[in-house]
Amino acid sequence: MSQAPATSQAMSGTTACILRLHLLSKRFGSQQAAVQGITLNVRRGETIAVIGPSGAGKTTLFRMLNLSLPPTSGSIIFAGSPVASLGPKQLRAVRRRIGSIYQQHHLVGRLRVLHNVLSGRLGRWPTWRALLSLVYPLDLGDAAAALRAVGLADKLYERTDHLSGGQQQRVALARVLLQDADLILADEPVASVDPQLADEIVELLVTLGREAGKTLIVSLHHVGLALRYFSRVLGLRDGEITFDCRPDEVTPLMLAELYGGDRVFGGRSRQADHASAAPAMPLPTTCLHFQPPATAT
Amino acid sequence: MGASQAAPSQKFFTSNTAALPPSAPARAWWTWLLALGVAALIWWSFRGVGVDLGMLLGSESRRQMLSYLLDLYPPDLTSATVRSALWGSIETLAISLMGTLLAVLIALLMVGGASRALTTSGVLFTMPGAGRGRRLTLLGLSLLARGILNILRAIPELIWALIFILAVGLGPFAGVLALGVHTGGVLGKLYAETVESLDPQPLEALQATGAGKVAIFLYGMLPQAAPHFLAYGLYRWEVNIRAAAILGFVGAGGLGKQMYVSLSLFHHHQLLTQLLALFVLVTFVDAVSTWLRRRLS
Repeated sequence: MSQAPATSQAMSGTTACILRLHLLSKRFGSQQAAVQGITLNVRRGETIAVIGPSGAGKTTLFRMLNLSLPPTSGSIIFAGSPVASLGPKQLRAVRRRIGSIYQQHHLVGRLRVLHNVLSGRLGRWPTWRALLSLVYPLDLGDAAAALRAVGLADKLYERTDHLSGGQQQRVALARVLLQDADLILADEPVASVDPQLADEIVELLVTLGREAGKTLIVSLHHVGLALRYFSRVLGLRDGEITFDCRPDEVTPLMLAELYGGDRVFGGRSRQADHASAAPAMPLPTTCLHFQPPATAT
Repeated sequence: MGASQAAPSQKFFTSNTAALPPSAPARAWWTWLLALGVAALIWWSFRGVGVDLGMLLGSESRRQMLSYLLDLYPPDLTSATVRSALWGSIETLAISLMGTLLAVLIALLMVGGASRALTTSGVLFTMPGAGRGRRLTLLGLSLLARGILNILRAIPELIWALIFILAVGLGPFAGVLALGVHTGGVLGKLYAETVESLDPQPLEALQATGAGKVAIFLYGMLPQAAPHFLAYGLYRWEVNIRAAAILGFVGAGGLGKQMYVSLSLFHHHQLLTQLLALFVLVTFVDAVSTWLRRRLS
């Protein structure tokens, strides 16, 4: 897996890449690795969907990317600096530039909507401003504008846990808008809302992200949404990338292999086959990582 | 409960004997050792305190208790006694209230250092980030804070009252300080443990925005923990109203001081009036506190 990205890196250079992963792995205790050997270059402004069955390692990958979970091995390079070597101050500075949206919102339910939105500013505010804002909200105009952008202008003073799931996800989106991050990560942002709402939220996320020139990495359960709204689609299974394509290049066979129960082809055998099969082409225009099942070669 | 009801369940169990679940794994040997140790401790304590039910319920002691109780009746309802009992009750209420408030203040000041969630472990410490020196400083701070709380808690209110009477003289102020300091030790530990058991996900989300620890405490921990903090505070207020009455015996004012005087001078009827006042006061505080705590949950 290390060959192809190395090539693409040589072609695209480092400055265009906001995020580079090299052989990133995470293992919990003695279990099978949740994420193994992921190598990936993400250019500024790309919108990437990560799809795959549950248990594929999407959430683990996501938590490593937003610097909540240290990898077991491999490296993450954000905007040119390897995050493993950062001290506490620099770590906070990098985290400030990465916005996160979660499946279960991860908002503080007992706070008012406005404080949850304003908590996007906590990376920038000194402590005294954070404290003051709880009593006398600061940057109220920005919070209101962010809520308007996600269609919740009238919920500013509502208690957050009084909102519906879909509305809470919009609050989480507004928080990320206020954070003004360069890279926005979303982990199954619509897995717990109904399909129509899911469509709306993903569209909102991609539209707002594009308008502001943000890089987007979104993991999704729903293949249709991934193919419709994103410029690049990654397939993740058993902690490994099975394909890395433009949406129009994703074939039914790839999806069948990704979601199919045919674990005969899964895991090691696929990887062993990988080196000879991978076409080394530049990202993101070309299908890079798709491997046909072992029996087909 | 008749035979007709027992029959089907009997059949259910007999017909399933073939599929009996595996027997539970044997308990570790130390579990039995622990149980034996606890039993020995209880036996030893029973012997050690010289439990003698004969002495408590024997005819001579029964007669003495009864005559003493009969001596108390009737309560002294002259306006001077009632007025001073009322005044004493108000003073005891004030001591318990101020003492509990002081305790909450101490606990809030100490919780940052005493809680492992803010100093050594948990979701805020998953990334290596901090250097060795910083980690050791935090560990030292945490041990110091918990040590101080242990000392505050280990010394009973009564001893604190004697110490504070030496410092600030006889009177309610010494009672407030004694209650506040001891209860501060109790609440500090409870608060620290509460913070350690909060839902970590919103905290991880706040950290991912680049927020510092104090900001995470203010926006993530405090809102989640506030109802628990309040409930513990109210419960300790119930305890402290009784403790405040006792403190009067060593000169810390209130109803307790009056009861001590009445007891010493054999003013039995006044004592009964004061006991009734205390009963009303304790019932009142318990009711208010229970009502408030129920509203919180």
